[in-house]
Amino acid sequence: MTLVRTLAVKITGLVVRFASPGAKEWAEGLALEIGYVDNDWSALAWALGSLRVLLGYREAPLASLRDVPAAAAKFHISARPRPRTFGWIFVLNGALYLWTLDLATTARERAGCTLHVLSMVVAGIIILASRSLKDAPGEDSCFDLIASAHRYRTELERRCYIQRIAACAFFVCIVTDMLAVTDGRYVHAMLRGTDMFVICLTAIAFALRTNRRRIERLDALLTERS
Amino acid sequence: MNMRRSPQTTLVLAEFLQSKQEWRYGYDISRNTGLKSGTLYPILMRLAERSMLETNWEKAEIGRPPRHIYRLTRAGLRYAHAEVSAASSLTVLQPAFQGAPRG
Repeated sequence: MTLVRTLAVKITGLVVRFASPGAKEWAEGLALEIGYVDNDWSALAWALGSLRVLLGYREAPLASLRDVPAAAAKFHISARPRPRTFGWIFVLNGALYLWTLDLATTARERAGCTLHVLSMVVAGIIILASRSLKDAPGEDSCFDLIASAHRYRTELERRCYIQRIAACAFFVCIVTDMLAVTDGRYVHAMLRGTDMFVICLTAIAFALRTNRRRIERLDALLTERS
Repeated sequence: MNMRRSPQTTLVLAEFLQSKQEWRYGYDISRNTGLKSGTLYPILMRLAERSMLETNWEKAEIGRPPRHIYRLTRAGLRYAHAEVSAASSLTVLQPAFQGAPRG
């Protein structure tokens, strides 16, 4: 085996090792296909392309509707405290940022700070006011798989709704922070916060994508069933 | 069913329509469509997540590794027909660049 092909095999081996549960089978497929690529350089190109599988986390997809109750229960446990916590974090963040209004010296800074505070408080109130999660599905409902799937889908939709509001609030905050940064004092005080918002926005975008994938998989299973 | 429309996805679907019932290999699809593995596999994964593509493992001859094989499901075939015909009609109706008429 040439050095180039050995490198290609090593790369695909790493991809298989670090691939997320939902992408494992695909990573294995990509890795084994190397054996059928004649040209060494093409094999290396194929292996480098396989690195794309590592981008983004994919959870193991639901194989059938029978897996729905377990997935729903797991989601319910992991998601339950978050919406209210999210809401309070937003409201408190808005309240904390009120002090920046004192520091604002120009109309642009004042507008930026006001928008920031308003977006956080409004997002927090919307999240707190949204319907709280229902109790975890009981043993009886596990028998009605379609009802369980619809219920799980509703919970996911609601989670996506909250995540979209949070993403919008963070986006507004990033823009308004940039508007408010006009002098040295503000740059120092605000940029740390802006970094945090960028990180939060990225994390929410990934979580939103995961939930959208779950919904699409559920839709596919429900369509198959009907 | 919602799925991101892209020329690459249409290309892959059209490739599957070439031989509807046959199982296909990833490398062959990549060669025929000219798509790199990093572009092709995310498309295949999305199709499989929406139950439009079924996957399987093919046992190879002794000394060679097994291969991951793919085939469109019935829903996938319906979607592929719709997407490919929509893409081709769009290409016919709206050329990207209208060449100047030669006099």
